[in-house]
Amino acid sequence: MERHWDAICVGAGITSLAFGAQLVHRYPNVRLLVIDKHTVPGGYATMFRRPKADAIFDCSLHKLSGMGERGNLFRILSDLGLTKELDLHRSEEYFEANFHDRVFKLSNSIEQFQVDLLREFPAQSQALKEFFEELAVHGRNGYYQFQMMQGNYEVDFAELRFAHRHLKNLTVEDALRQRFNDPDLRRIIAATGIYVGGFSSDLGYLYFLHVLYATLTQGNAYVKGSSQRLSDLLAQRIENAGGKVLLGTNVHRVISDNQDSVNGVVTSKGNFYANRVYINASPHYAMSQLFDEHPGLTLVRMKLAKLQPSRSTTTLYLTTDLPPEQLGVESAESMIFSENLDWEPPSQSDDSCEMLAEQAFWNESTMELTNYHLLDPSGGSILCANVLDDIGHWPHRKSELYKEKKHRAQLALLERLYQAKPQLCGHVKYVELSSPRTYERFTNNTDGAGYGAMVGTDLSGHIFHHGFPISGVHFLSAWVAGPSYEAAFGYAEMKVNQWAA
Amino acid sequence: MNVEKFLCDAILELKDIDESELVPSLSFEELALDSLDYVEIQLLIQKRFKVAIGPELFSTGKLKNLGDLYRHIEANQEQALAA
Repeated sequence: MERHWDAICVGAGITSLAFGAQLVHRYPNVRLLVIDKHTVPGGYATMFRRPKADAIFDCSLHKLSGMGERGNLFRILSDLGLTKELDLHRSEEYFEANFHDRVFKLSNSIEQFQVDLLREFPAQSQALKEFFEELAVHGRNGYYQFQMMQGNYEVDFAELRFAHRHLKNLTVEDALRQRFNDPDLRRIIAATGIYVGGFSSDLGYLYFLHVLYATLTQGNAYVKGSSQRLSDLLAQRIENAGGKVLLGTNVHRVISDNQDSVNGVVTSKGNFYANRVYINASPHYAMSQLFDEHPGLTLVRMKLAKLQPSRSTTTLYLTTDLPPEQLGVESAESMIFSENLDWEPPSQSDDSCEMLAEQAFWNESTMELTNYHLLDPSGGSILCANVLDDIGHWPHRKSELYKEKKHRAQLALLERLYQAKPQLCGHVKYVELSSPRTYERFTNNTDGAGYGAMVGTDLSGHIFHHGFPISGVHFLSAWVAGPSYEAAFGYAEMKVNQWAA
Repeated sequence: MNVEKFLCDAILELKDIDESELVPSLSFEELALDSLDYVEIQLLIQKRFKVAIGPELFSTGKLKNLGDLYRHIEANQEQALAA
Protein backbone atom coordinates (compact mmCIF):
# COMPACT_ATOMS: atom_id res chain seq x y z
CA MET A 1 0.00 0.00 0.00
CA GLU A 2 1.14 3.57 -0.76
CA ARG A 3 3.01 5.11 2.20
CA HIS A 4 3.09 8.80 1.19
CA TRP A 5 -0.06 10.95 1.16
CA ASP A 6 -1.00 14.63 0.89
CA ALA A 7 -2.88 14.45 4.19
CA ILE A 8 -3.80 11.87 6.81
CA CYS A 9 -6.90 11.86 9.00
CA VAL A 10 -6.59 10.06 12.32
CA GLY A 11 -10.05 8.62 12.91
CA ALA A 12 -12.79 8.06 10.34
CA GLY A 13 -15.51 9.81 12.31
CA ILE A 14 -18.14 11.85 10.52
CA THR A 15 -16.05 15.06 10.56
CA SER A 16 -13.07 13.36 8.92
CA LEU A 17 -15.34 11.90 6.27
CA ALA A 18 -17.14 15.22 5.74
CA PHE A 19 -13.79 17.00 5.49
CA GLY A 20 -12.35 14.36 3.14
CA ALA A 21 -15.33 14.26 0.81
CA GLN A 22 -15.41 18.06 0.54
CA LEU A 23 -11.62 18.26 0.13
CA VAL A 24 -11.43 15.80 -2.80
CA HIS A 25 -14.51 17.38 -4.35
CA ARG A 26 -12.79 20.77 -4.43
CA TYR A 27 -9.24 19.49 -5.04
CA PRO A 28 -9.60 16.27 -7.06
CA ASN A 29 -5.85 15.64 -7.14
CA VAL A 30 -5.42 15.64 -3.36
CA ARG A 31 -4.71 12.16 -2.04
CA LEU A 32 -6.09 11.58 1.42
CA LEU A 33 -5.61 8.67 3.80
CA VAL A 34 -8.18 8.20 6.59
CA ILE A 35 -7.31 5.67 9.32
CA ASP A 36 -9.59 4.16 11.95
CA LYS A 37 -9.31 1.31 14.42
CA HIS A 38 -12.96 0.33 13.91
CA THR A 39 -14.07 -2.00 11.10
CA VAL A 40 -16.64 0.43 9.68
CA PRO A 41 -16.29 4.14 8.84
CA GLY A 42 -18.26 6.83 10.67
CA GLY A 43 -17.16 6.79 14.30
CA TYR A 44 -20.33 7.51 16.22
CA ALA A 45 -22.25 7.73 12.90
CA THR A 46 -22.36 3.96 12.41
CA MET A 47 -24.70 1.04 12.88
CA PHE A 48 -24.32 -2.44 14.28
CA ARG A 49 -26.06 -5.68 13.33
CA ARG A 50 -27.68 -8.32 15.48
CA PRO A 51 -28.50 -11.08 12.96
CA LYS A 52 -30.29 -13.32 15.51
CA ALA A 53 -32.68 -10.48 16.25
CA ASP A 54 -32.84 -9.63 12.53
CA ALA A 55 -31.96 -6.07 13.52
CA ILE A 56 -29.70 -3.23 12.48
CA PHE A 57 -29.29 -0.53 15.13
CA ASP A 58 -28.11 3.04 14.60
CA CYS A 59 -25.47 4.20 17.09
CA SER A 60 -26.21 7.91 16.81
CA LEU A 61 -29.21 10.15 17.29
CA HIS A 62 -28.99 11.00 13.65
CA LYS A 63 -31.54 13.76 13.30
CA LEU A 64 -29.82 16.07 10.81
CA SER A 65 -30.50 19.78 11.29
CA GLY A 66 -30.14 22.35 8.51
CA MET A 67 -31.78 20.08 5.95
CA GLY A 68 -34.27 22.63 4.65
CA GLU A 69 -33.54 24.34 1.33
CA ARG A 70 -31.78 27.23 3.11
CA GLY A 71 -29.98 25.01 5.59
CA ASN A 72 -26.20 24.89 5.83
CA LEU A 73 -26.02 21.11 5.82
CA PHE A 74 -28.38 20.73 2.87
CA ARG A 75 -26.23 23.19 0.90
CA ILE A 76 -23.05 21.25 1.65
CA LEU A 77 -24.63 17.90 0.77
CA SER A 78 -26.09 19.42 -2.41
CA ASP A 79 -22.66 20.76 -3.42
CA LEU A 80 -21.34 17.22 -3.06
CA GLY A 81 -24.23 15.87 -5.13
CA LEU A 82 -25.24 13.68 -2.19
CA THR A 83 -28.83 14.82 -1.81
CA LYS A 84 -29.69 12.74 -4.89
CA GLU A 85 -28.16 9.65 -3.32
CA LEU A 86 -29.61 10.04 0.15
CA ASP A 87 -33.13 8.90 0.83
CA LEU A 88 -34.42 11.29 3.50
CA HIS A 89 -37.30 11.05 5.92
CA ARG A 90 -38.82 14.31 7.14
CA SER A 91 -41.09 14.01 10.16
CA GLU A 92 -44.25 16.01 10.74
CA GLU A 93 -43.43 16.42 14.41
CA TYR A 94 -40.44 17.85 16.22
CA PHE A 95 -41.30 15.43 19.00
CA GLU A 96 -44.19 14.13 21.05
CA ALA A 97 -44.08 15.39 24.64
CA ASN A 98 -45.01 12.74 27.21
CA PHE A 99 -45.85 13.89 30.72
CA HIS A 100 -47.40 11.55 33.30
CA ASP A 101 -50.75 13.37 32.97
CA ARG A 102 -50.78 14.52 29.33
CA VAL A 103 -49.32 13.78 25.93
CA PHE A 104 -49.19 16.19 22.99
CA LYS A 105 -47.34 16.60 19.72
CA LEU A 106 -45.13 19.52 18.74
CA SER A 107 -44.81 20.42 15.10
CA ASN A 108 -41.62 20.45 13.11
CA SER A 109 -42.43 23.87 11.63
CA ILE A 110 -41.37 26.78 13.81
CA GLU A 111 -44.65 28.66 13.32
CA GLN A 112 -46.82 25.68 14.25
CA PHE A 113 -44.43 24.75 17.07
CA GLN A 114 -45.16 28.15 18.63
CA VAL A 115 -48.90 27.65 18.15
CA ASP A 116 -48.66 24.22 19.80
CA LEU A 117 -46.83 25.65 22.81
CA LEU A 118 -49.32 28.53 23.11
CA ARG A 119 -52.17 26.01 23.08
CA GLU A 120 -50.59 24.00 25.89
CA PHE A 121 -49.22 26.92 27.92
CA PRO A 122 -51.58 29.88 27.33
CA ALA A 123 -50.43 31.69 30.49
CA GLN A 124 -46.91 31.90 29.01
CA SER A 125 -47.94 33.65 25.77
CA GLN A 126 -45.94 36.87 26.29
CA ALA A 127 -42.89 34.98 27.52
CA LEU A 128 -43.09 32.67 24.49
CA LYS A 129 -43.40 35.61 22.10
CA GLU A 130 -40.24 37.20 23.55
CA PHE A 131 -38.38 33.88 23.57
CA PHE A 132 -39.05 33.23 19.87
CA GLU A 133 -37.95 36.79 19.03
CA GLU A 134 -34.71 36.10 20.88
CA LEU A 135 -34.33 32.80 19.04
CA ALA A 136 -34.88 34.46 15.66
CA VAL A 137 -32.07 36.97 16.24
CA HIS A 138 -29.44 35.26 18.37
CA GLY A 139 -30.12 31.71 17.22
CA ARG A 140 -29.72 32.86 13.62
CA ASN A 141 -26.47 34.74 14.32
CA GLY A 142 -25.04 31.68 16.04
CA TYR A 143 -26.17 29.42 13.22
CA TYR A 144 -24.30 31.47 10.62
CA GLN A 145 -21.12 31.82 12.69
CA PHE A 146 -18.89 29.96 10.21
CA GLN A 147 -20.21 32.11 7.34
CA MET A 148 -19.75 35.19 9.50
CA MET A 149 -16.08 34.32 9.97
CA GLN A 150 -15.66 33.71 6.25
CA GLY A 151 -17.18 37.14 5.51
CA ASN A 152 -20.30 35.67 3.84
CA TYR A 153 -22.84 36.78 6.45
CA GLU A 154 -23.45 40.34 7.57
CA VAL A 155 -24.17 40.50 11.27
CA ASP A 156 -25.70 43.37 13.22
CA PHE A 157 -22.89 44.22 15.61
CA ALA A 158 -25.17 45.55 18.32
CA GLU A 159 -26.99 42.20 18.39
CA LEU A 160 -23.73 40.27 18.52
CA ARG A 161 -22.35 42.42 21.32
CA PHE A 162 -25.57 42.12 23.32
CA ALA A 163 -25.47 38.32 23.00
CA HIS A 164 -21.82 38.11 24.04
CA ARG A 165 -22.39 40.39 27.02
CA HIS A 166 -25.70 39.06 28.29
CA LEU A 167 -26.38 35.55 26.94
CA LYS A 168 -22.97 33.90 26.63
CA ASN A 169 -22.47 33.39 30.35
CA LEU A 170 -25.96 32.12 31.12
CA THR A 171 -26.76 28.43 31.40
CA VAL A 172 -29.90 27.20 29.65
CA GLU A 173 -31.39 26.45 33.05
CA ASP A 174 -30.84 29.99 34.37
CA ALA A 175 -32.06 31.58 31.16
CA LEU A 176 -35.24 29.49 31.00
CA ARG A 177 -35.99 30.18 34.67
CA GLN A 178 -35.70 33.90 33.96
CA ARG A 179 -38.04 33.61 30.97
CA PHE A 180 -40.69 31.04 31.92
CA ASN A 181 -42.35 30.19 35.20
CA ASP A 182 -43.89 26.92 34.00
CA PRO A 183 -41.54 24.00 34.75
CA ASP A 184 -43.07 21.74 32.08
CA LEU A 185 -42.51 24.37 29.40
CA ARG A 186 -38.92 24.78 30.56
CA ARG A 187 -38.38 21.02 30.27
CA ILE A 188 -39.84 20.92 26.76
CA ILE A 189 -37.56 23.71 25.53
CA ALA A 190 -34.53 22.19 27.29
CA ALA A 191 -35.19 18.70 25.89
CA THR A 192 -33.32 19.60 22.68
CA GLY A 193 -30.16 19.46 24.81
CA ILE A 194 -30.15 15.67 24.42
CA TYR A 195 -29.13 16.18 20.75
CA VAL A 196 -25.91 17.86 21.90
CA GLY A 197 -25.11 15.94 25.08
CA GLY A 198 -26.05 18.37 27.81
CA PHE A 199 -28.63 19.04 30.49
CA SER A 200 -29.99 22.55 30.88
CA SER A 201 -27.60 23.18 33.77
CA ASP A 202 -24.65 22.13 31.56
CA LEU A 203 -25.23 24.03 28.33
CA GLY A 204 -24.59 27.66 27.47
CA TYR A 205 -27.76 29.49 26.50
CA LEU A 206 -26.35 31.36 23.51
CA TYR A 207 -25.04 28.14 21.97
CA PHE A 208 -28.30 26.38 22.78
CA LEU A 209 -30.32 29.03 20.91
CA HIS A 210 -28.32 28.26 17.79
CA VAL A 211 -28.98 24.51 18.17
CA LEU A 212 -32.69 25.17 18.58
CA TYR A 213 -32.66 27.55 15.61
CA ALA A 214 -30.88 24.95 13.47
CA THR A 215 -33.27 22.11 14.27
CA LEU A 216 -36.52 24.11 14.32
CA THR A 217 -36.15 26.67 11.55
CA GLN A 218 -33.72 25.15 9.07
CA GLY A 219 -35.49 21.84 8.54
CA ASN A 220 -34.45 18.47 9.87
CA ALA A 221 -34.36 15.02 8.36
CA TYR A 222 -33.22 11.46 8.95
CA VAL A 223 -31.24 9.41 6.47
CA LYS A 224 -32.86 6.10 5.58
CA GLY A 225 -30.41 3.29 6.19
CA SER A 226 -29.21 5.01 9.39
CA SER A 227 -26.21 7.25 9.86
CA GLN A 228 -24.05 4.47 8.37
CA ARG A 229 -25.50 5.22 4.93
CA LEU A 230 -24.20 8.78 5.12
CA SER A 231 -20.79 7.67 6.44
CA ASP A 232 -20.44 5.04 3.71
CA LEU A 233 -21.29 7.52 0.94
CA LEU A 234 -18.70 10.02 2.18
CA ALA A 235 -16.05 7.28 2.52
CA GLN A 236 -16.86 6.18 -1.04
CA ARG A 237 -16.28 9.72 -2.33
CA ILE A 238 -12.83 9.77 -0.75
CA GLU A 239 -11.89 6.39 -2.25
CA ASN A 240 -13.35 7.24 -5.68
CA ALA A 241 -10.95 10.20 -5.80
CA GLY A 242 -7.92 8.00 -5.16
CA GLY A 243 -7.94 8.29 -1.38
CA LYS A 244 -8.08 5.42 1.07
CA VAL A 245 -10.18 4.74 4.17
CA LEU A 246 -8.02 2.27 6.06
CA LEU A 247 -10.04 0.42 8.71
CA GLY A 248 -9.08 -1.96 11.50
CA THR A 249 -5.88 -0.01 11.98
CA ASN A 250 -4.66 1.54 15.21
CA VAL A 251 -2.78 4.83 15.09
CA HIS A 252 -0.09 4.63 17.76
CA ARG A 253 1.72 7.95 17.34
CA VAL A 254 1.89 11.15 15.33
CA ILE A 255 5.48 11.79 14.24
CA SER A 256 7.26 15.06 13.50
CA ASP A 257 10.72 16.16 12.42
CA ASN A 258 13.23 18.22 14.38
CA GLN A 259 11.76 21.44 12.99
CA ASP A 260 8.45 20.68 14.69
CA SER A 261 6.65 19.95 11.46
CA VAL A 262 4.42 16.90 11.33
CA ASN A 263 5.46 14.20 8.90
CA GLY A 264 3.21 11.23 9.48
CA VAL A 265 1.84 8.56 11.78
CA VAL A 266 2.93 5.23 13.22
CA THR A 267 0.19 2.61 12.99
CA SER A 268 -0.40 -1.08 13.56
CA LYS A 269 0.10 -1.48 9.79
CA GLY A 270 3.36 0.44 9.55
CA ASN A 271 4.20 4.11 9.03
CA PHE A 272 2.37 6.51 6.71
CA TYR A 273 3.73 9.91 5.78
CA ALA A 274 2.14 13.31 5.10
CA ASN A 275 2.91 16.88 6.06
CA ARG A 276 -0.64 17.48 7.19
CA VAL A 277 -2.32 15.36 9.85
CA TYR A 278 -5.93 15.95 10.89
CA ILE A 279 -6.90 14.57 14.29
CA ASN A 280 -10.51 13.43 14.38
CA ALA A 281 -10.38 11.92 17.84
CA SER A 282 -10.91 13.13 21.35
CA PRO A 283 -8.13 15.69 21.85
CA HIS A 284 -7.74 14.46 25.44
CA TYR A 285 -7.04 10.98 24.08
CA ALA A 286 -4.77 12.39 21.37
CA MET A 287 -2.72 14.44 23.81
CA SER A 288 -2.26 11.55 26.22
CA GLN A 289 -1.58 8.82 23.62
CA LEU A 290 -0.50 10.12 20.22
CA PHE A 291 2.26 12.67 20.77
CA ASP A 292 5.78 12.27 22.07
CA GLU A 293 6.72 14.60 24.90
CA HIS A 294 7.28 18.12 23.62
CA PRO A 295 7.73 21.31 25.68
CA GLY A 296 5.10 23.16 23.66
CA LEU A 297 2.41 20.62 24.53
CA THR A 298 2.25 21.63 28.20
CA LEU A 299 0.31 24.78 27.34
CA VAL A 300 -2.04 22.82 25.05
CA ARG A 301 -2.77 20.39 27.88
CA MET A 302 -3.45 23.26 30.28
CA LYS A 303 -5.98 24.74 27.86
CA LEU A 304 -7.44 21.31 27.18
CA ALA A 305 -8.16 20.82 30.89
CA LYS A 306 -10.86 23.46 30.43
CA LEU A 307 -12.52 21.56 27.56
CA GLN A 308 -15.19 19.55 29.31
CA PRO A 309 -16.49 16.39 27.64
CA SER A 310 -20.21 16.28 26.95
CA ARG A 311 -22.45 13.87 28.81
CA SER A 312 -22.50 10.35 27.58
CA THR A 313 -25.64 8.35 26.89
CA THR A 314 -27.10 5.10 28.04
CA THR A 315 -29.13 3.65 25.20
CA LEU A 316 -31.70 0.90 25.08
CA TYR A 317 -32.04 -0.81 21.69
CA LEU A 318 -35.27 -2.76 21.18
CA THR A 319 -37.16 -4.71 18.56
CA THR A 320 -40.93 -5.26 18.73
CA ASP A 321 -43.18 -7.92 17.18
CA LEU A 322 -45.45 -5.25 15.69
CA PRO A 323 -44.65 -1.85 14.20
CA PRO A 324 -44.12 0.46 17.23
CA GLU A 325 -46.70 2.96 15.91
CA GLN A 326 -49.33 0.23 16.46
CA LEU A 327 -48.13 0.00 20.06
CA GLY A 328 -48.61 3.64 21.04
CA VAL A 329 -45.32 5.06 19.72
CA GLU A 330 -46.97 7.28 17.14
CA SER A 331 -44.21 9.82 16.52
CA ALA A 332 -40.76 9.34 15.08
CA GLU A 333 -39.49 10.93 18.24
CA SER A 334 -40.89 11.20 21.75
CA MET A 335 -39.54 12.94 24.84
CA ILE A 336 -40.56 11.22 28.07
CA PHE A 337 -40.50 13.53 31.09
CA SER A 338 -40.41 12.33 34.68
CA GLU A 339 -42.82 13.45 37.39
CA ASN A 340 -40.03 15.04 39.39
CA LEU A 341 -40.25 18.77 38.66
CA ASP A 342 -37.16 19.56 40.71
CA TRP A 343 -34.93 17.17 38.82
CA GLU A 344 -31.32 18.14 38.42
CA PRO A 345 -28.22 16.10 37.57
CA PRO A 346 -26.19 15.00 40.58
CA SER A 347 -22.96 16.91 41.02
CA GLN A 348 -19.63 15.16 40.46
CA SER A 349 -19.24 14.68 44.20
CA ASP A 350 -22.60 12.91 44.33
CA ASP A 351 -21.53 10.47 41.61
CA SER A 352 -19.93 8.40 44.34
CA CYS A 353 -23.42 7.66 45.55
CA GLU A 354 -24.42 5.10 42.98
CA MET A 355 -28.08 4.82 43.89
CA LEU A 356 -28.54 8.58 43.62
CA ALA A 357 -26.84 8.70 40.21
CA GLU A 358 -28.87 5.79 38.83
CA GLN A 359 -32.12 7.30 40.07
CA ALA A 360 -31.26 10.71 38.61
CA PHE A 361 -29.93 9.67 35.20
CA TRP A 362 -32.10 6.64 34.41
CA ASN A 363 -35.38 7.33 36.19
CA GLU A 364 -35.71 11.10 36.30
CA SER A 365 -33.82 12.76 33.46
CA THR A 366 -35.64 13.22 30.15
CA MET A 367 -35.72 10.10 27.99
CA GLU A 368 -35.63 10.42 24.21
CA LEU A 369 -37.33 7.66 22.20
CA THR A 370 -36.89 7.21 18.45
CA ASN A 371 -39.21 5.00 16.41
CA TYR A 372 -36.94 3.84 13.58
CA HIS A 373 -39.77 1.96 11.90
CA LEU A 374 -41.43 5.29 11.09
CA LEU A 375 -38.17 6.63 9.66
CA ASP A 376 -37.45 3.57 7.54
CA PRO A 377 -39.96 0.67 7.60
CA SER A 378 -37.56 -1.56 5.66
CA GLY A 379 -35.22 -1.51 8.69
CA GLY A 380 -37.70 -3.42 10.87
CA SER A 381 -39.61 -2.64 14.05
CA ILE A 382 -36.89 -0.90 15.98
CA LEU A 383 -36.92 1.54 18.88
CA CYS A 384 -34.04 3.33 20.57
CA ALA A 385 -34.40 4.99 23.97
CA ASN A 386 -31.69 7.36 25.17
CA VAL A 387 -30.93 9.08 28.45
CA LEU A 388 -27.95 11.30 29.10
CA ASP A 389 -25.64 9.67 31.61
CA ASP A 390 -22.28 10.08 33.31
CA ILE A 391 -19.45 7.58 33.13
CA GLY A 392 -18.44 8.47 36.69
CA HIS A 393 -20.74 5.95 38.33
CA TRP A 394 -20.05 3.11 35.86
CA PRO A 395 -17.48 0.44 36.84
CA HIS A 396 -14.95 -0.73 34.27
CA ARG A 397 -16.12 -3.17 31.62
CA LYS A 398 -15.68 -6.90 32.03
CA SER A 399 -16.29 -6.73 35.76
CA GLU A 400 -19.16 -8.43 37.55
CA LEU A 401 -20.25 -5.05 38.97
CA TYR A 402 -20.49 -3.65 35.44
CA LYS A 403 -22.71 -6.51 34.26
CA GLU A 404 -24.97 -6.04 37.28
CA LYS A 405 -25.22 -2.31 36.63
CA LYS A 406 -26.06 -2.85 32.97
CA HIS A 407 -28.82 -5.21 34.03
CA ARG A 408 -30.21 -2.63 36.49
CA ALA A 409 -30.09 0.07 33.81
CA GLN A 410 -31.96 -2.13 31.35
CA LEU A 411 -34.70 -2.85 33.87
CA ALA A 412 -35.00 0.81 34.90
CA LEU A 413 -35.23 2.14 31.34
CA LEU A 414 -37.66 -0.60 30.26
CA GLU A 415 -39.89 0.13 33.23
CA ARG A 416 -39.95 3.83 32.33
CA LEU A 417 -40.75 2.98 28.75
CA TYR A 418 -43.63 0.69 29.76
CA GLN A 419 -45.00 3.38 32.07
CA ALA A 420 -45.01 5.94 29.27
CA LYS A 421 -46.05 3.51 26.50
CA PRO A 422 -47.95 0.66 28.23
CA GLN A 423 -48.97 -0.94 24.92
CA LEU A 424 -45.34 -1.99 24.41
CA CYS A 425 -45.69 -4.50 27.30
CA GLY A 426 -45.51 -8.03 25.97
CA HIS A 427 -44.39 -6.92 22.50
CA VAL A 428 -40.67 -6.37 23.03
CA LYS A 429 -38.75 -9.20 21.35
CA TYR A 430 -35.14 -8.18 21.84
CA VAL A 431 -33.38 -5.73 24.19
CA GLU A 432 -29.79 -4.59 24.36
CA LEU A 433 -28.20 -1.79 26.35
CA SER A 434 -25.14 0.30 25.64
CA SER A 435 -23.52 2.26 28.44
CA PRO A 436 -21.04 5.16 28.58
CA ARG A 437 -18.34 2.46 28.73
CA THR A 438 -19.53 1.14 25.35
CA TYR A 439 -19.01 4.58 23.78
CA GLU A 440 -15.64 4.91 25.44
CA ARG A 441 -14.61 1.53 24.02
CA PHE A 442 -15.60 2.27 20.43
CA THR A 443 -14.66 5.94 20.14
CA ASN A 444 -11.79 6.47 22.63
CA ASN A 445 -13.78 9.52 23.70
CA THR A 446 -13.02 10.75 27.19
CA ASP A 447 -15.91 9.98 29.54
CA GLY A 448 -17.63 8.06 26.73
CA ALA A 449 -18.79 11.37 25.29
CA GLY A 450 -20.49 10.53 22.03
CA TYR A 451 -20.99 14.19 21.28
CA GLY A 452 -17.48 15.55 21.77
CA ALA A 453 -17.10 18.62 23.93
CA MET A 454 -19.75 20.19 26.08
CA VAL A 455 -20.56 23.72 24.99
CA GLY A 456 -21.19 25.37 28.33
CA THR A 457 -20.63 28.92 29.49
CA ASP A 458 -16.82 28.66 29.66
CA LEU A 459 -15.59 28.61 26.05
CA SER A 460 -11.89 29.06 26.82
CA GLY A 461 -11.09 25.36 26.32
CA HIS A 462 -12.51 25.33 22.79
CA ILE A 463 -9.39 27.02 21.43
CA PHE A 464 -6.96 24.47 22.90
CA HIS A 465 -5.52 23.95 19.40
CA HIS A 466 -4.57 27.60 18.83
CA GLY A 467 -0.83 27.92 18.34
CA PHE A 468 -0.31 24.13 18.35
CA PRO A 469 3.48 23.68 18.56
CA ILE A 470 3.77 21.10 15.75
CA SER A 471 2.92 22.68 12.41
CA GLY A 472 0.72 20.73 10.03
CA VAL A 473 -1.35 19.21 12.84
CA HIS A 474 -5.03 20.13 12.66
CA PHE A 475 -7.97 19.15 14.82
CA LEU A 476 -11.37 18.18 13.47
CA SER A 477 -14.42 16.66 15.15
CA ALA A 478 -17.25 17.64 17.45
CA TRP A 479 -14.59 18.43 20.05
CA VAL A 480 -13.74 21.61 18.18
CA ALA A 481 -16.79 22.16 15.95
CA GLY A 482 -19.38 21.54 18.64
CA PRO A 483 -21.81 18.62 18.68
CA SER A 484 -24.18 17.79 15.79
CA TYR A 485 -23.75 16.67 12.22
CA GLU A 486 -24.31 20.14 10.89
CA ALA A 487 -21.57 21.66 13.04
CA ALA A 488 -19.21 18.87 11.98
CA PHE A 489 -19.87 19.47 8.28
CA GLY A 490 -19.68 23.25 8.65
CA TYR A 491 -16.36 23.10 10.46
CA ALA A 492 -15.04 20.59 7.92
CA GLU A 493 -15.99 23.03 5.16
CA MET A 494 -14.09 25.80 6.93
CA LYS A 495 -11.00 23.57 7.15
CA VAL A 496 -11.27 22.80 3.42
CA ASN A 497 -11.43 26.56 2.77
CA GLN A 498 -8.10 26.85 4.62
CA TRP A 499 -6.41 24.09 2.58
CA ALA A 500 -4.73 26.48 0.16
CA ALA A 501 -4.18 29.30 2.69
CA MET B 1 -8.32 56.29 14.86
CA ASN B 2 -5.23 54.17 14.47
CA VAL B 3 -5.23 50.38 14.52
CA GLU B 4 -3.67 50.01 17.95
CA LYS B 5 -6.01 52.46 19.69
CA PHE B 6 -9.07 50.91 18.05
CA LEU B 7 -8.13 47.35 19.01
CA CYS B 8 -7.12 48.27 22.56
CA ASP B 9 -10.53 49.88 23.08
CA ALA B 10 -12.21 46.78 21.68
CA ILE B 11 -10.24 44.44 23.95
CA LEU B 12 -10.95 46.60 27.00
CA GLU B 13 -14.63 46.11 26.16
CA LEU B 14 -14.15 42.35 26.00
CA LYS B 15 -11.80 41.64 28.87
CA ASP B 16 -11.43 42.79 32.42
CA ILE B 17 -7.86 43.99 31.97
CA ASP B 18 -5.91 47.15 32.78
CA GLU B 19 -5.05 49.37 29.80
CA SER B 20 -1.39 49.48 30.85
CA GLU B 21 -1.15 45.70 30.20
CA LEU B 22 -2.08 46.06 26.53
CA VAL B 23 1.44 46.21 25.15
CA PRO B 24 2.27 44.89 21.65
CA SER B 25 4.15 41.91 23.11
CA LEU B 26 1.05 40.71 25.01
CA SER B 27 0.21 37.29 23.58
CA PHE B 28 -3.26 36.02 22.81
CA GLU B 29 -2.58 33.18 25.24
CA GLU B 30 -2.04 35.74 28.02
CA LEU B 31 -5.18 37.58 26.96
CA ALA B 32 -7.16 34.35 27.48
CA LEU B 33 -9.78 35.06 24.86
CA ASP B 34 -12.50 32.49 24.37
CA SER B 35 -13.75 31.26 20.99
CA LEU B 36 -16.50 33.90 20.76
CA ASP B 37 -14.10 36.72 21.72
CA TYR B 38 -12.03 35.76 18.65
CA VAL B 39 -15.14 35.86 16.46
CA GLU B 40 -15.97 39.34 17.74
CA ILE B 41 -12.44 40.66 17.19
CA GLN B 42 -12.26 39.20 13.67
CA LEU B 43 -15.59 40.78 12.73
CA LEU B 44 -14.66 44.14 14.25
CA ILE B 45 -11.47 44.26 12.19
CA GLN B 46 -13.31 43.26 9.04
CA LYS B 47 -15.92 45.95 9.59
CA ARG B 48 -13.56 48.74 10.63
CA PHE B 49 -10.49 48.12 8.43
CA LYS B 50 -11.92 45.92 5.61
CA VAL B 51 -9.27 43.34 6.45
CA ALA B 52 -10.33 39.70 6.65
CA ILE B 53 -8.66 37.78 9.44
CA GLY B 54 -9.05 34.07 8.76
CA PRO B 55 -9.45 31.99 11.95
CA GLU B 56 -6.42 29.94 10.85
CA LEU B 57 -4.14 32.95 11.48
CA PHE B 58 -4.79 32.49 15.20
CA SER B 59 -5.05 28.69 15.22
CA THR B 60 -1.78 28.17 13.35
CA GLY B 61 -0.01 30.67 15.59
CA LYS B 62 0.86 33.03 12.70
CA LEU B 63 -0.54 35.82 14.84
CA LYS B 64 0.83 35.30 18.33
CA ASN B 65 0.49 38.68 20.01
CA LEU B 66 -1.13 42.10 19.67
CA GLY B 67 1.87 43.50 17.77
CA ASP B 68 1.54 40.74 15.15
CA LEU B 69 -2.11 41.63 14.74
CA TYR B 70 -1.45 45.39 14.40
CA ARG B 71 1.22 44.76 11.75
CA HIS B 72 -0.99 42.30 9.88
CA ILE B 73 -3.87 44.78 9.73
CA GLU B 74 -1.66 47.68 8.70
CA ALA B 75 0.00 45.67 5.92
CA ASN B 76 -3.27 44.36 4.58
CA GLN B 77 -5.01 47.70 4.95
CA GLU B 78 -2.45 49.22 2.59
CA GLN B 79 -3.22 46.45 0.09
CA ALA B 80 -6.95 46.99 0.48
CA LEU B 81 -6.55 50.74 -0.06
CA ALA B 82 -4.24 50.19 -3.05
CA ALA B 83 -6.84 47.89 -4.61
